[in-house]
This record gives sequence, structure tokens and C-alpha cells, in this order.
Amino acid sequence: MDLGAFAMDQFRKALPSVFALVLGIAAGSVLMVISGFNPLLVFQLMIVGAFGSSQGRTYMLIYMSPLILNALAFLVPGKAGMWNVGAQGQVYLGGMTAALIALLVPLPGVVGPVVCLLAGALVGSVWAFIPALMRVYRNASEIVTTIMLNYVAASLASYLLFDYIGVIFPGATVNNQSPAFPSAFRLLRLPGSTASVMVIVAVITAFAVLYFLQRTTYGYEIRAVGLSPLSSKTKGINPKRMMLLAMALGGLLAGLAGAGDVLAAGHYTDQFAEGWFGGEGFAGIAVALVGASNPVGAVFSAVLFAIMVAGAPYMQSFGMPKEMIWTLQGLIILFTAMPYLYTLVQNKLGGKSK
Amino acid sequence: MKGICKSFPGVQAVDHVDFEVREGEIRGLLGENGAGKSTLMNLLYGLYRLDAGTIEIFGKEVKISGSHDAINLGIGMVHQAFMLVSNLSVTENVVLGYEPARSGVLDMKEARARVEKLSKSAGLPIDPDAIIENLPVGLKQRVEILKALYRGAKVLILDEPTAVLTPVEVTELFKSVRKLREAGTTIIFITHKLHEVKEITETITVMRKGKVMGTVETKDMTYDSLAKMMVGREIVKSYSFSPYSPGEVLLSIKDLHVGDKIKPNAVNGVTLDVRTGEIVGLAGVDGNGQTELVEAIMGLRRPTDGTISVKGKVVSNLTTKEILDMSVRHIPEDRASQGLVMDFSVAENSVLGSIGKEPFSSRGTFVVVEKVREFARKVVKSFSIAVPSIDVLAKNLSGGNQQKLIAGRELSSDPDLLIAAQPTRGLDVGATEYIQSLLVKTRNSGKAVFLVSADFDEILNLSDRILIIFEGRIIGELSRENASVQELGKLLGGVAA
Repeated sequence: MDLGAFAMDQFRKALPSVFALVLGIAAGSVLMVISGFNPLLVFQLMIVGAFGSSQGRTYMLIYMSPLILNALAFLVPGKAGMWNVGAQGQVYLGGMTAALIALLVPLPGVVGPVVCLLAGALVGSVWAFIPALMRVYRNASEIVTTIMLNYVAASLASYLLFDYIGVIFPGATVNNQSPAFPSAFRLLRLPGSTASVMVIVAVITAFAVLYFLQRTTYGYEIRAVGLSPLSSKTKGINPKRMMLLAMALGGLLAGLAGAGDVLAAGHYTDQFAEGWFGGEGFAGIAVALVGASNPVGAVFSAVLFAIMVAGAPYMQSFGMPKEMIWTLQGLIILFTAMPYLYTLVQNKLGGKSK
Repeated sequence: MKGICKSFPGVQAVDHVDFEVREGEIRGLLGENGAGKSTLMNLLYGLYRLDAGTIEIFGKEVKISGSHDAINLGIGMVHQAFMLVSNLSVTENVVLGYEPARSGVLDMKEARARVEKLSKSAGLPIDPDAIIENLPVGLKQRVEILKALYRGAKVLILDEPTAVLTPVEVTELFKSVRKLREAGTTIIFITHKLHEVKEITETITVMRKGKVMGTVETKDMTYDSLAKMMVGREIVKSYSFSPYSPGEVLLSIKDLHVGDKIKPNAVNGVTLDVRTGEIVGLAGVDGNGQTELVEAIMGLRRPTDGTISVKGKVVSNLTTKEILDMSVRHIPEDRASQGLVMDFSVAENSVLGSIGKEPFSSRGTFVVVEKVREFARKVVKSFSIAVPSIDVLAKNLSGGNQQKLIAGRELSSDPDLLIAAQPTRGLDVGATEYIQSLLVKTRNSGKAVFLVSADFDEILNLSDRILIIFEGRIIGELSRENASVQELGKLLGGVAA
């Protein structure tokens, strides 16, 4: 296949997102000016903060992996027409599973983390499968059920890890933090950084998801069902099966994110999945949308979000409020949610009128 | 209405039509699907804008730019799909938008009194306090008629009013229509059913493919003569058919019943066979059960009674995939929503449903992209699909090319049984001829073809045997020799042979 044409095609597909990004930055800059800040200075501080210090670079790497994985957790079910707003809960249960295994099951060095990651992914997958079944067989809106299950998951994880574990390790839970995991369960670090290898796992997973969607029959049928369930049915494809599979995969990815977070931290805390937008599960949705619901786009989008968050402390040290970062992110997402804007501009420039 | 023209993208729906109605007439507007009758009346009622032409009411030219204008001019229309608010009462629905009020405060007592008076004077008994959702369809329709009368309709247009009624309700409706006529209302009765138009109308205007064929006195017409006007005489395209020698029975349907809660008897006892080496054409106006029948054959719906067998094996309880695997293929009636994934490329669409099979994937999981593309290129070439590349999205193809893609995909697997539902709907002459010649070729090569079509020319040109479906039943059968335009038209209008 013609590589040049392929690249052009991908670039063309990415344009609406880039356009939204530019608009978001422009709108954010206007707000900065109104608030009495120099946008150029703000962005400069952000970049320096993110890339200029080893701490900044570490933060970036740490933030990237949950962002990528949660973005994937939203976009894979999205391909089948399912809205997975339950990544947050799937993350909690993935983390909980990893923590429970780490604390209760003695496993050797390499095996330990791998088992935790796989188990966490599996539990996350089951957690997503429940609302999927309800949607497919009872037409219950998965948006509602996944959100509700988020709360159930948070409470369940909390209970098992603090009330239950407290019985096994009396007095060990302090500040709503579980006991530290045995060193065998600690994830490898990246050379020259305190960030774990999860970021590599996340990037590889993103490419695996791309391959799955574009180069496997399951990915093909998931996409067909999402785009045209009726045509798929007419040709013998079972939309129910594909919807269930897509949601299960979404949960798998979020569960993996949760397990990875917890192993990287070395202990489980109540607030581990929170951090921005009410939680990494929800941040993932934003990342996915800005990344045009494309696995590779999600990686670039995650880098962008990571830069913004990693650079924030440095900006703050210069007196800039961290809310500016949230506002900027919000504006970018807002413009991403208006793809029609791009079509409008395209038509105006092309001289077309409908 | 003089010189009326209206076109939509790709089709001239109304083509230089002159239409004149006398005060107090009951006029029938007769024609098959797509003849233009509903469009013409929607133009009169202001729901569409005229491309060309003029409308005169009592000799005065008028401009109708919306239904409000039409209503003010005394034109009312009752559509097939009712526009009532289910949880409000009859009174509330009838006066909706024209509520009597005393300095801004609703006077529902007055409204109720008015509705009662109107109901009595029009001879259309109704309970003004009844809630719409509790009313049977026939009475809902009556409310729609009262609505139109309340707004001062002097001309009442009824669009296929009997489509949703039971035979008893139809009798009631006809009584009401006659009463209204006595009171001086002009009625325009749109239908495709010959027996109705003969029963209730005084004059009939027949439309065909957007043109008016003529206006006649009902009493002078027979079913034959009406049918001839409706169906017309067309130059028969000649395809070369190999000698007719049908073989074994491929598709066998016995006393099939298909339906659901909304339409329980969509297919109401159908029995038919399709053999190898023949094209069986199922003729019928849309809405007589064809859609449900095809869905049942393809496993997209479960029959409620009866059996469907392919090659002697009962398939009524099999999945679509299992039926497809028996070398049965289907060209669906709606190419955009049932035949293709519009946002997929030509290449991706060419393997819809077959991507799990060799050679397109190995071990049913890993797609072999080169084989898929090779196949797509082959289909594009063999079926003369005009695209610059196989990566063009299906939605950017013309209707003809989309249909060729579907036909090409289905025929490439050399199916033993082909179900073609409205295969040339919305296509231009060139694409139509291409698709039709494909069907003939398939038949000539000894396959079984089941053609379901509302296009009478197509049925007449292609079928070895013609079956006519009406209200869920087969009401007649014709063979290629004895099929004539008249017979077909009669049967299509619902008059059993």
C-alpha cells in the first residue's frame, strides 16, 4: 500500500482534532490575557516545567500510562457503539485486585506483578461485562449502569482493602492506605527515573489495540456493528456478541490501568484513581475524544494532557493558578466536541454551500 | 393546480401535473408507490415547496408556503401517520393551536362544546373527553378528520386512509366520507387499492411516475381499465432467457405467518416455491408483507407459523449466518442501512460477513489484508463499479455503484438461491439494466432467484412466474406467457383473480 497516501490519509483524519486543539489554545489564551497573564509566558513555563526537570519528565511518564489505558478503555467499546463511562470503577477494582493479590498471595519476583496485572485486567473486564449484558439483553442504558457501578466499585474496593485487610493485618491501615506491598510486587522502574515501566506497557497496548481493531476479524466486526448494526445483522454478524466483547475489552484495559497504578505506587490508597476530572477513568474519556477516538491519537493526546499536568506545579511556583490548566483542558475538549465547526470552516474555505 | 413540478435529488416526483377538482367531489387519486400522488397533495398542503406551477382556489391564484397557509385556505390533510398527542383528550387535540380563549385564559368548556357540536353536525360521533391513547386506530383517524374540519377545511385530503384500518373501520370511514360530501366538503382520496377507489369515489385521477395519466368518471371504469392506466404500457426491455426448464425446489415456503405486536398478520399464510433455473417475481405494492417475508426467509425474523425450507432443510429456526452458509444470498431492499456499512471503504464492504473465512483471514482471526484488497479489486472490475480506488467510502458512491457493490459481493460467492428485494429501487436506467441483466444471468446459469419488487415493469420483464402479494397473502399467480399488464394491475389493486 502506498505509504505516502496512507500518511496523508491519517493526517487528514487528524486535522479536526488538531483544529480543535488550536482553537482551544486560542480560547485559553484569550482567557489568560483577560486574567492578566501572558499566554506565551504561560505556555513556556508549562513546557519548561514538563520537560526541563527530571521531576517534570517523571511526572509526565507517570501520568501518561493511566491516561492512555483509560482512553483505550473508552474508545474500544465506543467502536461498537457502547459508552463505557465505567472505567473509573473498573480501575478501582483492577487496583483492588492487584492490591489483594500482592498482600495476600506470596509470589516470586517476575510472576507477581504479571499475575496482578492480568488479574486486575480480568476483574475490570467482568465489571464492564455486567452492564454490557444489561444493555444487550435488557436495553438498559450502559451510560447509567456503568456510572452507578463506579460507586459500587469504589465502596467495594475500600471495604475489602481497609475493613477486611484490617482484620488480617491489624492496625496496618493508616491514613486509608494499605500496607506496602512486598518488594517482589514492585514494578520495574524506567532507567534514570522513578516512573515505572507501565508507560511502555501502555504504549504497546495502544498499538495492540490498533492492530486488534484494524487487523483482526473481531476488530472488524466490532467496527461494523458500531457503524451499521443493521447491515451487520443482515450479513450474519451478531451485534450482541460484538457489543459484549467490546465492553469486556474496555473493562480489561481499565482494569489493567488500575492494577498498574497500584503496583507502581506500591500500596493502595482510597484516592489512587482520582486526580483530575473526578478520576482517571473520566480523564481517559477526554483523552480519547481529543485523540479522535483513535488508539494512536490517544497516545499523542495523552502526551499533551501529561505535559499540561506535569508542567502545572512549575507554573504554580510562578504564581499562576493551577485552575488555568483545567480551564485550558476543558476548552480543548469543548472544541473537540464540536467536529461540525471543522466541517463549517472547510466548507467556507472550499466555497461550498449546502 | 397547473403545471406543477417537484423534484427531489435524483427523481422527478411530480412532472408537469395539471390537477383540477370540483367543489363537493369525492376524487380518487390512484397510483402505485412512487407515482407522485402523496407528493402532489403534500405540495397542496404546503408541506413541500413547488419547483414550478401555480395553485388556484376558486379561480384565485394562491401562494402556499406552509401548512398554515393551506389551512387558512380551507385545505385539510389527514396523513397515514397521525399527528396526535397521545396523552391529551380528543377535545384538546382537536383545538390544538386554535384554542378558544377569553383574554388569554383557555376556555376548555367552550372548546368541548365546539367539538361536540362539530362531531354531531359532521356525523362523526366521538367522545370529546376520551384520551387519544385509549382510542382504536379508526377513532384516532376520526379525530384527525375532526381536527381538519375544526380548522375550517373545505377540501379534505385523505392519504391512504385505509392502510391502518380494519375492514369494519373502513366501512365506517366510507360512511363518514359520504356524510361529509353531503355537507359540501370536497374529498381527495389517495390510494392504490382499486376496490376502494371503485367503491367510494365519483371521479378518479390516475398518476404514474410523476405524471397524470388522466381523470375519469368512476362509473365508466372497470378494474381492467383502471389497472391499465395505473400500470401503463412500457417498452419491454428484452433480456435473453435460456429455455425455461426449472429443476429442483430450492426454496419452499408453506403456510407462512409472520408478524409482531404492531402488525400481527403481516404475512398471513403464504405458500410458494422457487426452483433452480427460474426467476419467481413477487409483485406487490410496499407494505403488503414482502419485507416481513424476506426477513423471515433470511432469519432476521422468526415466523409465527408455517415453515421455510431451503434445499429440503427447514431453516425457519436457523440464524442468518447459518442460512447464508447454505449458499443463500440476499440483496436487501435498503442498500444504505441494510446492505452496506456506509463509513467503511469499498474494500471493507466487499467482505462484510465473510471476513472470518479463508482466504480473507487466517484461523478466522487475523485478517490477510492483501487477499481482501485483491477480492475487492476483482469485484470492482467484474461488476463495472466506477470508483477511483477501493478505499473510497461507500457513502461517497452513487446509488447505482452501491447497488452494484452489493450485487457483486453477493453474486461472487455463486449462491444457489438469491433473494433480491427491490434491487433497482432508486437507480437510473443504466444501473437498473445492469442489475437486471445480472439476475437473468444468474437464472440462466441454473440458480434460483426470488425477486421481490414493487416495480411492475421489472416483474414483467424478468419473471418466469409472477406471484402477487396483497395484505399478506398470495392472491394470484401468472406465468410469463399469460402475464399481461392488465392482469397484473388488477391483482396489484387487490382484486383477486
